[in-house]
Amino acid sequence: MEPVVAADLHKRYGGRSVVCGVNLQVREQEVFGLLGPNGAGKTTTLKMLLGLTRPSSGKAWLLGRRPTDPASRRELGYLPELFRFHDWLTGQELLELHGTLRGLKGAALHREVGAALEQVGLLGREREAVRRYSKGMQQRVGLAQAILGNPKVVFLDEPTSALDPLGRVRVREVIGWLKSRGAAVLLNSHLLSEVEVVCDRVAILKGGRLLECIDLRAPEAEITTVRLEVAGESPELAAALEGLGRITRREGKAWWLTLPAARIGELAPAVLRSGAALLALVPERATLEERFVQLMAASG
Amino acid sequence: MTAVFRLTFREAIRKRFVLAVGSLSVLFAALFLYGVHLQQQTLAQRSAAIHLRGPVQGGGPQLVYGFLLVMGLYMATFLASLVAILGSVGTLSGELESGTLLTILTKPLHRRSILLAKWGGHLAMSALFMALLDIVLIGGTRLLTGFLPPHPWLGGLLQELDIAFLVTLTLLGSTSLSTVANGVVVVLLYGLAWVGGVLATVGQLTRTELLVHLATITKFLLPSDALWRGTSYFLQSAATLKLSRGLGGNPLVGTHAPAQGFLIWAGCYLLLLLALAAWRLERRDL
Ligand SMILES: Nc1ncnc2c1ncn2[C@@H]1O[C@H](COP(=O)(O)OP(=O)(O)OP(=O)(O)O)[C@@H](O)[C@H]1O
Ligand SMILES: [Mg+2]
Repeated sequence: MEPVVAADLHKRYGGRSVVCGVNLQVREQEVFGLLGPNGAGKTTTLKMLLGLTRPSSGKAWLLGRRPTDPASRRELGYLPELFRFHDWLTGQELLELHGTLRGLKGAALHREVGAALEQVGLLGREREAVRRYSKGMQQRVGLAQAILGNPKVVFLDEPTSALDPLGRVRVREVIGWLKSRGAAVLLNSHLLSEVEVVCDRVAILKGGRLLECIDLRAPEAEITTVRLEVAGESPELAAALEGLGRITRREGKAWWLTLPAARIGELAPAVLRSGAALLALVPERATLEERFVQLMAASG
Repeated sequence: MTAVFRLTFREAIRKRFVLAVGSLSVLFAALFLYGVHLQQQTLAQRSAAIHLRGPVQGGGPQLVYGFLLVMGLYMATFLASLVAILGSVGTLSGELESGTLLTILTKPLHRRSILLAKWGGHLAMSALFMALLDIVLIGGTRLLTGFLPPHPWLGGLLQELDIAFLVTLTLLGSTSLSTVANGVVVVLLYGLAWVGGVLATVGQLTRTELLVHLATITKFLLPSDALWRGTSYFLQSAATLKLSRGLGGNPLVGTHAPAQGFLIWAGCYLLLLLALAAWRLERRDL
């Protein structure tokens, strides 16, 4: 069974449907992004999967068990979106507490705490009270808490909301590291450019419904757009390009062309054969952001 | 689970709760014992004035010391009750409000285990405080005057049952109410129990049946005042008890032994409230 499974999850709060029929699966060694506008129900979905909130109907499984079973959380890490901790503890003590609750002991606990501190870049500050940490440092300690002891499933609810650019890069590295360890990562985020880099698949949620699930690692969609820059064009060029696809735009030396992705390889030879010089050939895939905005517009 | 248990103590120490409560309690105990000391001196001087050899024995002074001690313990119980309530008033609600519980409850533990650990921590802390106050007041009085109440252990046991009840009630409240609301509710209920106890005495004195019934209901739903009456019964000498009974009862202390049935009820009721708290937390959406 997949490490994280949601089957037709529904949540109603006082008669208002907040999540309606969410189905999703996160595979082993996969980074899965849950996207959607504010109030879409991302956090609520996460909480149902974690057993923090009871679904009104539908089922969830975490590592093959129902979230009500504490054993389902044996290999789980979670960073909440509003990260608050017992901030009168020092960073070290906080991580030791969370490690102990996860069942780590003695030397293993000590080692894991050290490793987690190192990974989030807090080494050297672990003896200070968490209360004295800056907001970003608190989020880092929260991330350290979530990755403590090699969990098999990690839920990160907007893990970079308080981080500086370097911190964000670090989170990306941490996610990569988790993945390389075989963990499944479920990530909520509004930073689509980041999501695009780290996620294997994303699901887009709006008004509690899953609008679309996009596989970001799938081969490019069949039809794609390419921008060409050529010098010394001849009349044959336009004809040659028309033969491969459709010219959508021209601006000086730049041409935009939509064509079947399989034929991109034929572009350069065609340009050269027409006698022109090829200065640039840039496939322009729609960014996740563009697709997101389109999807939101289309769904009204 | 022991980690959560220990966390309660750590939090109390780090947040200076222990320091604040401890230093003020020392002040309270010192004041009380100084009072006892002055009283003892006065009585000794008087006995010397009428040429009695050695300290005054028997009736009079024992009555005075017994009364002084039971009133001191009345205050001590009140203080410890407040410490028990206010110390645990935000234990779940505060953590739910701030969100610190989210990462704790996603650990591979039942919510009820975490609740139990927190309950144990607060209970141990409050019970320890009560015991320390008792030891200082009873022991100090004994050292200064030689007076020892007849059944200090039994009295102490009932007192701790009272503390346990208050901790449990507060914990139950904190699974559902906000910290502030919970504090207000529990303190009001505590006051209500006290009023119930006074009503019982008045009702019995004036033979007003309705009052007695009301007081009985209060006693079973909020046993803390009745438990104090049980405690104080065991802490008074036969002479003091006789005096109180002669006056038709004392609104602040007990004059009769607590019924065994009531004590069993109080114990079961406490466990019931604890189970209810666990059930509430297990079902709650976070
Ligand atoms: N405890 C609650 N009681 C009532 N309504 C709630 C509760 N929790 C969440 N909601 C509602 O559910 C909807 C979804 O909330 P949720 O926190 O899941 O959104 P989100 O997608 O995580 O948004 P964001 O991007 O802002 O974090 C919101 O309309 C919110 O008001
Ligand atoms: Mg959210």
